[in-house]
Amino acid sequence: MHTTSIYHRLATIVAVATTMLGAIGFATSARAAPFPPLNDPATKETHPGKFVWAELFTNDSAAATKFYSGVFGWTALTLAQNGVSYTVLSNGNHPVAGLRQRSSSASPHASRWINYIAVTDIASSLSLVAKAGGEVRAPAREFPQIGTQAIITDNEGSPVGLLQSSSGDSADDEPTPGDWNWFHLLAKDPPTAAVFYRQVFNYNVTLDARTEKKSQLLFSSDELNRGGVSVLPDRAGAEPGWLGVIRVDNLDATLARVQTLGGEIVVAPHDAAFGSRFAMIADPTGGIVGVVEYENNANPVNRP
Amino acid sequence: MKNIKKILFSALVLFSLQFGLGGCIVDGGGYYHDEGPWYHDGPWLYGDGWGGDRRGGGHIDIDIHPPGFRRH
Repeated sequence: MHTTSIYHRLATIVAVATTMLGAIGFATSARAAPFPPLNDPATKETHPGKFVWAELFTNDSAAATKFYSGVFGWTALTLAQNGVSYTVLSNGNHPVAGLRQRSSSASPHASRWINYIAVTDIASSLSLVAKAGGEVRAPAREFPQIGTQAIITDNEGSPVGLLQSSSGDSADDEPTPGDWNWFHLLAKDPPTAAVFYRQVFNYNVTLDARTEKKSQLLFSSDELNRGGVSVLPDRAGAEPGWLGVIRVDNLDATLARVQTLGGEIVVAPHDAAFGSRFAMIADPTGGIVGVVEYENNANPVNRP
Repeated sequence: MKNIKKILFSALVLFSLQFGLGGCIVDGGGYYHDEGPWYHDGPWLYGDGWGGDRRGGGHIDIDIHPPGFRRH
């Protein structure tokens, strides 16, 4: 056999093998799309105390994705790595939420939304949790493109997240329809719960002077309201917890889509303060959020 | 002729390696770390807080504030 022929055969084998490797690699790279940064381009702003991210911990990401995409018009990007999926939901061009698949050993309980509060030094914030009566449930861990996350439960057992973003925090602009609009803690004892959040997140806590509900407290930072706390309603099965509220431009149309897509109306729509109409819904996997529409689509400025 | 074949084979090898290694690099920089479970599932993460009596609408007496925002 001539040397040239051997060279040709070897070269052919190498070329075919590397072509196959290339095809596999190309397919893998297409499947493993990079996680979109929370803020792109990154900002140089930090707004500790602001709610900046939300994750639904669910046993059925596919059902949840279909529901939230259909109801709120969010777009979904599912990342699958190491046998675990994570879905990023975006409102327009900015990510607003993630769907985190629960581990296979998780119980069959309903999905749960965890809302994340911005911090600038997550280790320092976590060091305050136990002293304030809370507990660290998921320790600080860095996730590429998002930042360092942790989850705690407060002094009444309500879970809430901490996020030290790696791309800064978004500006304090008016939320558009499809964005998170408000975060409200329903607590057994609001004043006691408020102490926890003041100690851990350095919130300024004030009485709500703008509504008739004098028992409602407001959490603010940067002189802006970030969330509120009021007494947990006396309903069977109701437990303390944070409620994320999404702004919509047409509440009735939104609720119609909720029912069409297999969700439930947990609290019927009703008029609320600031010219708003509000309702609570449950997705088909049990995750609960609020939805709010403002009269004439106006979202008045509200400062402490 | 031999030189042309060599050039073509070399180009094919380089092209394939580029995509192959590129795919491996992206896959290895994934979202999930192999650091064991981040959290332990438990009652604190159960989402049944409004179970049981939640059907039928009703009312919840809270004011949902519009969040603060800065006007530009």
